[in-house]
Amino acid sequence: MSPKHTTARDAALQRLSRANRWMVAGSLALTAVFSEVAASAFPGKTVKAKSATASHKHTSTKSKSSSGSSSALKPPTKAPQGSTTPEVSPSQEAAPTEEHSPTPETHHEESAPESVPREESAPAQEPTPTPEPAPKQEAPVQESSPPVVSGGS
Amino acid sequence: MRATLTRLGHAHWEALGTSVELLVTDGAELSRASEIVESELDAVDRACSRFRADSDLCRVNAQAGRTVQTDPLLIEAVEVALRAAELTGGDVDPTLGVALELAGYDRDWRLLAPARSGVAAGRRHSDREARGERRFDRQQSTGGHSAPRPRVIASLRPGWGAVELDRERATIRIPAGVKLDLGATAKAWAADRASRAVEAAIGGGVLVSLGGDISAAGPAPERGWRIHVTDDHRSGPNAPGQTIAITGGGLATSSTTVRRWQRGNNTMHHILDPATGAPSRGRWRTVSVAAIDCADANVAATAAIVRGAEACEWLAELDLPARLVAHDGEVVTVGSWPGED
Repeated sequence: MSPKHTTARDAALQRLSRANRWMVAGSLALTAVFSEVAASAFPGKTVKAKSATASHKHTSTKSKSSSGSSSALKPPTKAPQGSTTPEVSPSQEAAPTEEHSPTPETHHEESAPESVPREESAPAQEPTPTPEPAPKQEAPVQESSPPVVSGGS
Repeated sequence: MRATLTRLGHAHWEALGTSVELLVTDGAELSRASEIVESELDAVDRACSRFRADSDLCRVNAQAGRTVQTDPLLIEAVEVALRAAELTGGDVDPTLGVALELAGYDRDWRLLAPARSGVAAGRRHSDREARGERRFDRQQSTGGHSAPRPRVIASLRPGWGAVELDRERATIRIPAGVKLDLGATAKAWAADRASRAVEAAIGGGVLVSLGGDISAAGPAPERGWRIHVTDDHRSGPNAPGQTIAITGGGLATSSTTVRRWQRGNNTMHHILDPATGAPSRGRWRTVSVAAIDCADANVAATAAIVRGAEACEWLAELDLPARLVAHDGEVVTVGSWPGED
């Protein structure tokens, strides 16, 4: 092969190489442009649970009752206060060796304090085959009435 | 703002498988408030009950693997549950329905065989259970006693992250083989809904307690809403515990000493550790938390039971006032929870 042909071939190869580089750069740029256009034109809607918070945020105005829009568990606006009423409040509580009846007792607010819980193994503690809801009871009570009980349920 | 009325209206009845307590600062509005609460709880029950065959939740569970159009109320309840899972790193997981059934909690808990003894029995469990495997005794599930007991070993794979929720279309899709159980969040969320609904309709102060999950809205009574925290919400105010007062927001108590039942030789309870699928065996038997609302308080209390010894630090980081009772009776308070006099 003559030097003239070699030079021509090298020049052609260089042009090809440059063209390839431009094509690669151009395709990358076009990909970016198309991606941006597609993202704007067809916004995705995430339905996976992990993004529930995000999806909830843009729809939270539909339901004010849901607390799902916050990103963390929130403390109370005002800390609970100790009660002045004398209570049994040992720093060491007795382990609960007894459990209560499966059917909670229903009683009037102004009646005597609840009776002592019965032994779980007593025959009367057997689960009721068809639990019936207790009748609703309503009454006005003094503000100094017994506190509402919060415990496991 | 505090109400100056000295006579509260108080009603109590049963719903959602537990006791309902309603207090309003304006006793004259008690009947109206009761109707509002009943209506709210009935709607929640129809949407979210795991024990009602006609509930939306049962319909979604029955069609696991498929996208199901459902009541927006269930969508909201599931959103609350998924948020709880997200904020607790999965410690409170709504996809434990199958695990609960395998543990024997497959009907209203009052129909289950009661636990034989107290807390001590609850500590017994096999290594197999701790690994998330469960002995499922078909004979026991059908009430049989004498025939040989065929046993099935099941592995549990909860996965709240796989639940697909589309609020706009009101659709839910849960993976095949998964069942949702909203027991860890729905009751507290319902209490929040009910108290807010009463406040919006009547305007006075209101406290709603669903099995001890308490939500207060509107102006509180002069000395605040007095609440006695203890192991079991069915206990009286003289049970071992502490009485405090809140002026609003939520307060919830989770405990492993209630909703216990017998499963073979094991005493089970309803708070499962998602890591194992077995009842949580952490340090705390009862945790009470105060928060901005009852849903947050309940999520924190349940997660604290599951987290065990790490719970105090976690609650302190979140600035949540809390009272934790260990199995041996030791009481630990966190943050601004009032001390015991």
